[in-house]
Amino acid sequence: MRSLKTSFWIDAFIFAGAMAALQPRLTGSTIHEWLALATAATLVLHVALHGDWVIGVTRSFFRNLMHVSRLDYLVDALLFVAFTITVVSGLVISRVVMPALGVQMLSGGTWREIHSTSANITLFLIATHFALHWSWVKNSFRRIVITPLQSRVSAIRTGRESRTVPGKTAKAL
Amino acid sequence: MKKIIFRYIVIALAAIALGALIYCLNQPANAASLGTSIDVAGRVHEGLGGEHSLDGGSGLLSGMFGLLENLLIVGMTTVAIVSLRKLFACRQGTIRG
Repeated sequence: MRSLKTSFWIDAFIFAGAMAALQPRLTGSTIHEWLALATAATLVLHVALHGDWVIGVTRSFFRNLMHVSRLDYLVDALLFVAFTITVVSGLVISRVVMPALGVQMLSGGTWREIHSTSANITLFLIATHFALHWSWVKNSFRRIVITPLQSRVSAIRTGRESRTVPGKTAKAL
Repeated sequence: MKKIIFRYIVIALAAIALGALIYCLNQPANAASLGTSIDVAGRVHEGLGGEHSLDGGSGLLSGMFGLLENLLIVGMTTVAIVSLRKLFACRQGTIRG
């Protein structure tokens, strides 16, 4: 059974990977291309892990008009399409991945513009997806990162206190 | 586990099919009509955030600024959407009350 921790770290990797991949100036074209592919593969895993939700909302999409998850679903579907377009256009204009696989792409002039525009749209959709799941992100971050850190810090503090208290008492005595 | 692997393959195949369709739609004729409409939208977002081409070369500082821009966009969108959601939740509450 998938845990909250696994979901959180997969999502964190996708987010960090997408943010870094959307800045080829930061990474350089080699890392940009391979990182984008790795992010795409992890994104597919993210969708597969949330398969039950996808199937459930797809079934009730036209049945229930006041569906709360409809906006999430539309944003996710658009994000999937936009990311696919970004990956395909990226592969067409690829300078590293496709030549490394032994494929030479005959890319036209429009592919670069398609890649740039779809990447921009993907960024805005990622931001919207992130915002729509903000409460989950906040609560998971608190449970997985903040609470263990706090308990560790308090454990260290109590450990220090227990070590220093005998010394103090010895001095006092 | 088997279910997730099956779903993974199905979604990956769907993405590949969609990608192949997009490729076939644009590549053979090198469709100029699609390019011109997208070019305008591409220029709109060129200044802030999103992906920038590598024509100016890569650099850690400019890349970090770009990453900051992207995070800024995510932050602003999150604040806007969370605020809107809270606003609508409050209005619903007052109507009910």
